[in-house]
Amino acid sequence: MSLIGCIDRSPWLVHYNCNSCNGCDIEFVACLTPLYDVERFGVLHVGNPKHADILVVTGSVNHRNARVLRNVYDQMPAPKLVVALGACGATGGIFADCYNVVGGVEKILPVDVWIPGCPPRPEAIIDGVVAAVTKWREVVAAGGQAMTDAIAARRAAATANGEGPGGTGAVTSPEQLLAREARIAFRVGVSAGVGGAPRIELVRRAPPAPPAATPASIAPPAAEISSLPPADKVPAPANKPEAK
Amino acid sequence: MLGMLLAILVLGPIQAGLFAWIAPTAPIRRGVVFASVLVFPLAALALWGVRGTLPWTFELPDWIPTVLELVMAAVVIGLGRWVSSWAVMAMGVIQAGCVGVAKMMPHNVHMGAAPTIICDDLSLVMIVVVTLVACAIYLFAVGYMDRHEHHGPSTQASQGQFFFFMVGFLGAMNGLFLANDMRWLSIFWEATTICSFMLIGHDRTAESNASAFRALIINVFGGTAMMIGGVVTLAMLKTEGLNQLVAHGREALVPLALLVLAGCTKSAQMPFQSWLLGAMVAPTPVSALLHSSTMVKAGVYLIVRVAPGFVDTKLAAVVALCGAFTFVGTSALAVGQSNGKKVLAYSTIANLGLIIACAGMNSKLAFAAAIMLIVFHAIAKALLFICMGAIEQGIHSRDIEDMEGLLFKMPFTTTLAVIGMVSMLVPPFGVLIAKWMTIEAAALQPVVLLLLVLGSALTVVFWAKWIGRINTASYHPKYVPEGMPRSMSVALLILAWGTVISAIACAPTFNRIIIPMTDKIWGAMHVNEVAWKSLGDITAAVAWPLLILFALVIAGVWFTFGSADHRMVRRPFMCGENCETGNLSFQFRSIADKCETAMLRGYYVPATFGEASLTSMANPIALLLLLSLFGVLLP
Amino acid sequence: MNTTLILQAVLALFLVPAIGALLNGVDRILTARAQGRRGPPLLQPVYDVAKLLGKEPIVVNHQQIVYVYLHLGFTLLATIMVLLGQDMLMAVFILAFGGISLVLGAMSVRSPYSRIGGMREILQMLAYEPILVMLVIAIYLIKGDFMATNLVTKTGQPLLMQLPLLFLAFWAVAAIKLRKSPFDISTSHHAHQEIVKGVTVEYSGPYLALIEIGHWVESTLVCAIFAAFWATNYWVAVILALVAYEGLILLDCASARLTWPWMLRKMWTVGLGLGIANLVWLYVK
Repeated sequence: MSLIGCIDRSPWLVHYNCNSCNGCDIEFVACLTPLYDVERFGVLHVGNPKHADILVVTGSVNHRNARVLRNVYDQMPAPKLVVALGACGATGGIFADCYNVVGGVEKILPVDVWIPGCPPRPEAIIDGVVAAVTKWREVVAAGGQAMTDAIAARRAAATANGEGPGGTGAVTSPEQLLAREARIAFRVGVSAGVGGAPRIELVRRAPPAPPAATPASIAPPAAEISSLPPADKVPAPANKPEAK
Repeated sequence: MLGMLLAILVLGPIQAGLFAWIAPTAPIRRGVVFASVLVFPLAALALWGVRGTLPWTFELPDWIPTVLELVMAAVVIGLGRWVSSWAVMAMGVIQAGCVGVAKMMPHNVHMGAAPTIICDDLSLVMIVVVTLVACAIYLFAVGYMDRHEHHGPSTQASQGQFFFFMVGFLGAMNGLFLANDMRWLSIFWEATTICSFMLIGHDRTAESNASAFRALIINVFGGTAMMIGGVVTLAMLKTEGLNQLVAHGREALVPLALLVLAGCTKSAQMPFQSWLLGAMVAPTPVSALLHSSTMVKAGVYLIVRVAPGFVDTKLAAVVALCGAFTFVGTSALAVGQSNGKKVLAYSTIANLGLIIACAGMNSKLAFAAAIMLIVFHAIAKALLFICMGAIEQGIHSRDIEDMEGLLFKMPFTTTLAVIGMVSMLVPPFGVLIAKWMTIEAAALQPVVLLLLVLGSALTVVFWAKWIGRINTASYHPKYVPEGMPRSMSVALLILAWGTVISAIACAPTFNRIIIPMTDKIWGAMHVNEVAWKSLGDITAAVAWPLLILFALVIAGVWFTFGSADHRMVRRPFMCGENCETGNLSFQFRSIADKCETAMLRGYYVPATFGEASLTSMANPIALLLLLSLFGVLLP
Repeated sequence: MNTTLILQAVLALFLVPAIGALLNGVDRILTARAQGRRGPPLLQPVYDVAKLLGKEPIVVNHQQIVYVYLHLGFTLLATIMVLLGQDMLMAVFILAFGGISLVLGAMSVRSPYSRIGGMREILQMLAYEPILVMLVIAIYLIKGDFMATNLVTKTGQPLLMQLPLLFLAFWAVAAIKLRKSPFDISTSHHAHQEIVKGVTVEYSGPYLALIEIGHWVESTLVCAIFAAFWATNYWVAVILALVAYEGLILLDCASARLTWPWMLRKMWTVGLGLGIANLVWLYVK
């Protein structure tokens, strides 16, 4: 058991809220409570990036805190992993079209694991952390050179200006995630309302192509998705004047 | 031969000082000072070399001290006139009166031998330490005073006068250590007071004149107490010899108490500490020489010298209490100070209090601890004060809060200052070993012990704060030693090496010099035997691992800084808001994305440790303790 | 220095952190159980340190590194001195310098959290130093000697019978030393706090691992001193140490962090008061 491999026995998390509604943060903190107890896996929630191995980011990242997020990532010592928590962290979620939203952590940092959900349940979060750690185990098992390459690649990714390539060495592909997201994600749209006043409404995205087989390790339990009402049961927006 | 060496050490500095004063040009004056720096340490070491024949006694004609005492009294009255103080003039008159009264009493009826000059182990140790430290400070002063003259106030006195009093002072100190006749003691005592007065007032600003006056009045008060003590000794024991007073101390406790009082004023114990604090306005070599390593040591030297006289009496208990209380009080005061020189001054007074507490503890171990403390503290404090002088000239401020980043601005001075400060805190350096011995010796005296324990906890606070502040620096790939006049840097290095070598030599010094000395002085006296043990046994288990640890640390430091890699460096954590464009690593983005600098002051807790509040509480208690010095003598 | 002493010292060099690691593992499990959780495996502290040692070394400035080694070195030296029967008062002073080294490391960095943590750590030391020295003096008064070999003598009354008040005061000192609530003021072992991680905030990777090992050593020292309070019977000593340690853990779980003025006031009144009362009792006897 090499020293660097010990990260899987003791992954320390630092958590940053970058423009999140706090829903994902509450679920994240719930993992630390006695009901879910991540400490039995050696997971500790630390307060500053210098002590952390895994950076958990919630929220869609806006232009103001993109700089902060990059700063925090730089202050983490290698080896380090990034986990994007929630729909907002993956794509921007329902806020993706807002003018201040960058639209997902992968645009700033090289993400290793996306945990979908709005918000994801603590079981999914724990799954995601385990996935990150498993991925690291695989990299370590592949040998030292692979790990050095991985670190170098991540450094290159992080120093790229603004737009991170995203998906470098990722376990899942963004397309697969987008596909799942598309079935449950809405976007905020503005349309003309009664009397010409603009109206804000939730608009469903176009349904995507069926996804390819997804690795079990990041698939949230099927119950998650069915907990939301199917699309055709959403009540249509009533034709009444909206307050601005 | 011996007499000649002693004469060189006592009269030589006075002569050298005169030459320095009348030197027509600066290079000649510098030459005189350099010559002194070479000659006097050699003489002191030569004296050390022949110490196998200790103790040495000499007699001097009887009329000389009488005349000189009257001269001193006249000078005091004159000074009193100069500063327009009737109190000083009155005390000068009392001193002259004492001379007259003493003349009229029957004297020279010796109870035993009472030679004029006795040089025993204690005197020799003091002479060697004081001469070596003083000469290092003279070396520093040459470079320092040149700069000081450039930037100092226009009213300051001439460098010639400065060096006369500085170098001449060494003669007075050496004479003080040699004097057995109490009249000679008083003469040299007053001489040091006068030197201190002239040197504190060197800048001749309103502040320095006021401080000089306060120093004068308190020290003249002490000198008067000493002369009265001399007269009372003459009356009670019919002798003027200090050795006789110590031998028959039980019958003559009043003069002993008066001498202790004189020692307390000279060593700026509470409640007299204000003069030393005020004396910090003087140029730094003055503070280093007079007010940390030599003159104030004269006071504790006297108390340590007479300590065997009041062993196992109530007087000893009160002396220990006075010393211990000063230790706690001034340590607490130092916690609330941010002026660097004042912190050093309070720390000095605290250590002097510790020495006085040792003297009152009726214990051979404590006595040995007192001597060790005198020796090691003199070296360490001199180093710290001259570092402070260099720092002050470098950053033009004495405030500790301004010393941030000093490690990068002045790496040479900062490293030596850290060595000096660490030597007050860490074994195997002598100051801490002495403190350790003191606390062990105090184990059977509960009140003194409690005060010592509290005081030593407080000393840690202000040293740690200061070392922490001075060591703060961002990452720099290269450190460049600052430029400094050669005489200053050489003096700093001499004292720093002195501190380190004395740490290594601590155990051998103790075993081969101090134990025999203590045995000789305390001999067959019944004393509180608390863990009287050979330092060699104990420190063998501790000193070698510690020295190895330190050697590893120095090697580690060398390696770490040598392989400094900028890729390892990150900015401090400020919640991610570090300012990427700013050139200071501790800037952060605040409102409107402006780059702000993060600043943090140390904790000084002025409500509890502030000078004003604490002094007004502690001084009355200290005064009460001093009065009880005499109170316990009432039948 | 004889070879037995050197051999014992080398053995202690490995055993002391090992015992400390186990103690910290037990600490975390018990804390978790008290909070209704399961807790990590017993060897979790070892995994933590192993992982930290494998991380990339990063620093804010290079002086930090020196102070970490000084901290670990001095703390280890003090603990080994006590365990090998050397002078206890000297061990207290060496331990104090170990603490100061950590403070200096924290203050050498220009980080506001680190600096505040450093200042608070100095005040913590001010709060507990006097009581530690008083404990050493009390042991001297009973045994007549400052050597720590007296702590393990099997004859005579157990120290707890003669120093009950000082045991309580030392228990509070242990709470401060081990950074247990309500005294986890300069840095704590659980989550982050108002000054993030305080003293250790700018340390990471291998250097944080060394600080963690230093904490293990302190845990061992504290439990060893607890055990010394009933040195006459080996099993009672171990149980006493574990019960006292468990008490500290429960105190940690049950209380919130308080302020440093409160800590200083309480330790210098109640703590010193207990110590003085016990000492007076010994003097009078």
